[in-house]
Amino acid sequence: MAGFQVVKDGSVVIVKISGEMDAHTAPQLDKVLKEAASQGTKLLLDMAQMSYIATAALGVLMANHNTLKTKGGKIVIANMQEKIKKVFDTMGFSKVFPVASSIEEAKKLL
Amino acid sequence: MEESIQISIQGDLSELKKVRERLEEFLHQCSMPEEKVFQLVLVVDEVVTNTIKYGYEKKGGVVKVKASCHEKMVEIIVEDEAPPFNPLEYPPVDMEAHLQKGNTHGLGIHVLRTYADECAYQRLSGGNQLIIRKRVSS
Repeated sequence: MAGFQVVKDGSVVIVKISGEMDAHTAPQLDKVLKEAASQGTKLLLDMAQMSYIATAALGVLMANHNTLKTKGGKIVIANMQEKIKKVFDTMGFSKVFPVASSIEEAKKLL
Repeated sequence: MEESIQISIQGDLSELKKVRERLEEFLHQCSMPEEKVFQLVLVVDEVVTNTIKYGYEKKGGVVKVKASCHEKMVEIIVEDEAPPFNPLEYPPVDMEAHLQKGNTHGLGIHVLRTYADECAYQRLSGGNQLIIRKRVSS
């Protein structure tokens, strides 16, 4: 079961993602990120409660990253679980998305 | 302990979770370390996703996942009734350069190449068969 919570914190839009992000739930992630991006161009994704990621969701992250980049925006990630981080590293996504170990650290990267 | 399982789905993306859960449960019985279980489940998830999205073009169709536990290896056989598609024909991509250009296609096949120890494809009469093997320990 995928869950999302969007909170505006000053100029930063924090998106808390929970559950499993696969090809079935990736369209929901895309919708939430697009809505979040309409509130601000600095997105902070809190992945503490996200337990799985498939490439469909990685593709969604990349597509939203590309769109935000053209607007001078950015996506940073906080609290990624170790197994997800390894997928990120293997796929080269860690070189595209700044990853921090806490929300406070992630804010500094925006 | 079960030595093999078969999971059949009707080709809807909502069934991916069921495939992952059943496979994960079985792989734990094979004494595969957690990290390898996660990798192999991801590989199978990607293969089944490609079949549902591109093989069947989201119109549905049977996908069978057979998993068997051997002394040093786990073998997964994914079969469908979709038009011919051999993922191993796709050349490996330089993922860093790929991502720098903002490309995201071919990620699933990259996962397959990265995390499977052995792969083989066969076109069967009326379907595709992909055999994936992964060593139980490193």
